[in-house]
Amino acid sequence: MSESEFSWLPDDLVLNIFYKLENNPRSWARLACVSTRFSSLIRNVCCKSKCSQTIPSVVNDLLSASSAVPPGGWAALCNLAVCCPGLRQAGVVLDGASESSKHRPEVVVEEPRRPARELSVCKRRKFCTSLMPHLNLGVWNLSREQGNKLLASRFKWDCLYVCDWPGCVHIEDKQNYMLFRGIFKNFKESGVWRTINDGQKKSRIDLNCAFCSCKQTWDLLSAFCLRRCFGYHDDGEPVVRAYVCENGHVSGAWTDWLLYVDFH
Amino acid sequence: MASKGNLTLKSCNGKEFIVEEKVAVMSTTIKNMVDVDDSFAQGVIPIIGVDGKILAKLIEYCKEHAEADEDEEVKSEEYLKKFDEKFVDELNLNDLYDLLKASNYLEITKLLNLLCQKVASMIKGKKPEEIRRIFNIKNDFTPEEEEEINRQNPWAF
Repeated sequence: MSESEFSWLPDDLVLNIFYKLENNPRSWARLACVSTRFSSLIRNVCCKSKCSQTIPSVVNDLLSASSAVPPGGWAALCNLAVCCPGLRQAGVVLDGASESSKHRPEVVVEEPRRPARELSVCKRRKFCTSLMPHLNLGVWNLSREQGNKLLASRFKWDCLYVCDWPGCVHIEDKQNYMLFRGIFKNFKESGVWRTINDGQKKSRIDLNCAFCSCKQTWDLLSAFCLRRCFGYHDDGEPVVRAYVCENGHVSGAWTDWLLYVDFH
Repeated sequence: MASKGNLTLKSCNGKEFIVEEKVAVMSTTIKNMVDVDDSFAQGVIPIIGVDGKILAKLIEYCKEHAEADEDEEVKSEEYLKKFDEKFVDELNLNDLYDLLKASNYLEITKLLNLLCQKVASMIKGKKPEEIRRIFNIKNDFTPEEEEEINRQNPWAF
């Protein structure tokens, strides 16, 4: 068989095949890693149609007259829609960043002790660990209301879409982490962007964005962009932390002590 | 134009097939040709880019489905399902590609869907490396590109 048989198939045929696999986002992600042609079809065509289908109002709002592609590309937005950032990208497991890490043993995602329908809970999967971004299937939605609850009141004019509470629940020995993700609209024009750029040196860290190719993110907590009232737990662990990349993709986590949470 | 007449289809390598019109018009492309131009219904319809072997396969498929559409008693849904399964299972990869292209060009929607589904089922659950091997696809990423794309899809593996 000649080497490039598959490449003789026209794009519309290849797309027809890809669309038969659209119910499993993992299939698409794997296809994107096969070759440059697959990658481009998945990222530019499939992801675009998937986003327009599943989060139409967010897509409408994110796109402006000047740009037909959301910052970071369609694939990033598609990932953001279905993917939990994982404990590392949510900033929970920063290397030596948090003093509270000492009482945190090996981080594993467990089955929920109480199967709660409204929670989308990460199950232990063979191919992903809770540290890394992983699929967060189920009913999810991105809304501005959730974003507004997160940001300090002086940023009330910024538009941040965040997934519905509680996001992806990671249950640890002592703490629960509710991992969320989100995206800013017109991030470069937002108050948050201006603020973190004023204090760039302080809040920028070497933490990859979970969704796009950005190598660095800004710590919204240390830049005082999150609501102050959330504060810290007794052990110094922040109640909420969030990180944003240049494209406006947000990853973060709420922390709850099991003591305070009725999970049983 | 004789509505129940026969049509002659000619493959790109000169093989001629005489088929019932109801079988041939399973292909939207042929249907349009016949509808627009009467002379096709009388003469020979050249099927460009499809060789005799593949055209025979296409006709085999269309014949079963056209007959089933006409008389559900003789060829039940169950029967068709089994026929479809056997039809795609017996294809080798090259025939699969050729049939895909031919059914796409001839707009035989049912067959096209069946074949796409077949390829999709071969992809399902496979890792990129396996997909490349099955379909003989070259990894044409630069090492940097590959690292980047893998990094962006860590949950894919």
